[in-house]
Amino acid sequence: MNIHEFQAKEILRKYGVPVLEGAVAATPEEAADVARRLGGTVVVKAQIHAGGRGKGGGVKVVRSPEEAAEFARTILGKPLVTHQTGPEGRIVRQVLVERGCDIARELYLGVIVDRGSGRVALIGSQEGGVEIEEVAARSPEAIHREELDPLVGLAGYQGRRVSCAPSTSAMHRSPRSTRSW
Amino acid sequence: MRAFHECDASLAEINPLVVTKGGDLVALDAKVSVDDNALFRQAAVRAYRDENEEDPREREAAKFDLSYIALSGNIGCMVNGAGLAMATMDIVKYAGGEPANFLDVGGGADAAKVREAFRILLSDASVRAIFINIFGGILRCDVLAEGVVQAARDVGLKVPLVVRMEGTNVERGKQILAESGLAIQTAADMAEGARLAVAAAGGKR
Repeated sequence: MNIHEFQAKEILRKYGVPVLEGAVAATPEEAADVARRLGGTVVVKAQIHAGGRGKGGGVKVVRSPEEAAEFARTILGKPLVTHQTGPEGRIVRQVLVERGCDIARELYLGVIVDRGSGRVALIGSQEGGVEIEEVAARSPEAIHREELDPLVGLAGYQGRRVSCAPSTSAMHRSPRSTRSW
Repeated sequence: MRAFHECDASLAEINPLVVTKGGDLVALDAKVSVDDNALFRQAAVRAYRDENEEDPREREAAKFDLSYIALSGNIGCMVNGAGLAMATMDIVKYAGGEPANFLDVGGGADAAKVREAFRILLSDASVRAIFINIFGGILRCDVLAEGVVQAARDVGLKVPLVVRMEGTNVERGKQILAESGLAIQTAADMAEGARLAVAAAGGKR
């Protein structure tokens, strides 16, 4: 079963993963209220069960509650087409309004059940962001993967290996932090 | 990692995990998928279900415990057993058609379940023909025939129907279909059934 981004973040927040302050809104007025409460620059994100929302026009950085409401009005109740939805798209029924943040670097971190090895795999890359699928296709060496022993679980060295994994474009940079493992 | 395990997730992804200009880490986006087989013990995750995001036909099928997957073709398939259902889709493709769905009504289906399954197929506007392929083991052919006839009467059968039946009480089943007065084409085997269904749906694609 898939869940929405805001729900996934609720879960992650419970486990101590840092997420930005925000709330979900089903109307333009609610979106404006959340934006007003957060203050400053906020991001309005369409909540559908599909990826590629940014590229599909479902995410916008706005600078005022009025702008938040305006963007929410343009996407709510309408289908959003991304490369994962198929041509008919999916109707946007809710938006997540979140505090903005200054991005220095975008990393990728994922945990999946790998059917091939029958193990849980931790996957990390220094080249995260909306192009991750192209990165995986173009330079697979930039995606680092650790298979976890089911009896041992995640070992410290595996976390460090992922955090120190080289990137193709940022080979010279050193990892900034490993504290979230 | 702990969230992944304790939620019985099959995927937990943070992309991008952002390093801010202030040097903090923050999950800018997040995606979590949870194993359906674990939902019985994941009450909190169950509450996150958004029915608007699910295919309405698959939702309906789940209510009646039917294994149904919507596909993009035009031949509705109703089969008992997942293996036979896969083989049926293969043979439909081999005959030049495109299945509109995967549907396994299960080995022990009763007339009511067959009726609901058939109703779901009939409610799909893209279905141009229906191919029923049943090997009557625990599910007897006469029970199946009853369910099909009831559903066709309730909902109205607007597309050609091809039936291939074999197994327990097959004669009684065929008799029920014949006496129903419905326009049903019967096939002697799977290959013939697939050919008839493809032809009835408007030929090869």
